[in-house]
Amino acid sequence: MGAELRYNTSNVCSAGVPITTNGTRRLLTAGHCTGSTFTNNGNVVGTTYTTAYPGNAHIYGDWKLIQGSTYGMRVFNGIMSSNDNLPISGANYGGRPNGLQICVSGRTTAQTCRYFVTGSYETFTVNGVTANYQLRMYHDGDLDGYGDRSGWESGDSGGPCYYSDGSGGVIVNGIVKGRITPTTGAITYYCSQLTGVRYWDASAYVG
Amino acid sequence: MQFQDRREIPDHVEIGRAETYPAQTLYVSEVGASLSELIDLSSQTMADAAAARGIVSIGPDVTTGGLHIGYDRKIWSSEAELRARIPEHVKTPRGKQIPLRFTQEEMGENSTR
Repeated sequence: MGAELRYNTSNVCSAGVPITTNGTRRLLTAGHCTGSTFTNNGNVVGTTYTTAYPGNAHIYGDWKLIQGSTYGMRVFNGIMSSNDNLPISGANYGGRPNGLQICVSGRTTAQTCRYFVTGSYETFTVNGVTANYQLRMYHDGDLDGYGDRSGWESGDSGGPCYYSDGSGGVIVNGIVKGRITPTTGAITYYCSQLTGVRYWDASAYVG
Repeated sequence: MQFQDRREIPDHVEIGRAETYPAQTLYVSEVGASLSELIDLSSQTMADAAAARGIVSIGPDVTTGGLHIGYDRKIWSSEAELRARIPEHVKTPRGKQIPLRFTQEEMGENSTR
């Protein structure tokens, strides 16, 4: 996952992670990707099944489920247009301790890593819509101890936020939400935790 | 601030790791509210239109054991202005005030294109 999802003709987001509810596998992406039909390379890869955004984002977070295709349990982790990928081996439905790292994968910046968690279970308001269950992070690409501005870009919304399982796979923790971009200095990044999906349906799982 | 000073418990020995390293000292800090209470307080604050105005982000803060609040600098020119609206909304179910940490922010944006 991390591949392009195009909607409303010219808008783009990224594919998140497969979620199974009641025996059916669907695809999680950002709720603020507001289209109803999503394409990749001209092919329809899903239509909206349900969405928490905007009406219930303050309860469940910023996500939606689309359906209508098969969705693989893998994350693209190479450079742009590469087919390199890693298996999704597990999921974290909670927060992540401050100081630990996250990677993300999206259609604009491919895989980027070295995001450092600074908060979990936050709410984040964009354009008047408050979304619950957010991971807050900064990006430190050169590991100099200071946040920078070289993390993900527009279009990566919905892509998976994850970390290594130590055995060649990844554990997904959420999907890309948004940013706070000051005039100068470090950007603050937010991922929607999977917590909100579980709050909506306690039996939902990544798989 | 609702923290108590760190309390040293020199004779606290647990099984396993602590037996391997018996000289370990355990420090504990008491916080004003549990994580679930802090999440509820965040939601309650954001549900109050007056209190939520200008708040970009809010959530549990491991630095203080309370809440971290990011506010839009274009709406609130100072922390004091916003703080004056907040206190009644951030008490625990036991009526305890919790620490608040404020940060000036810009408006947020979603990462769509």
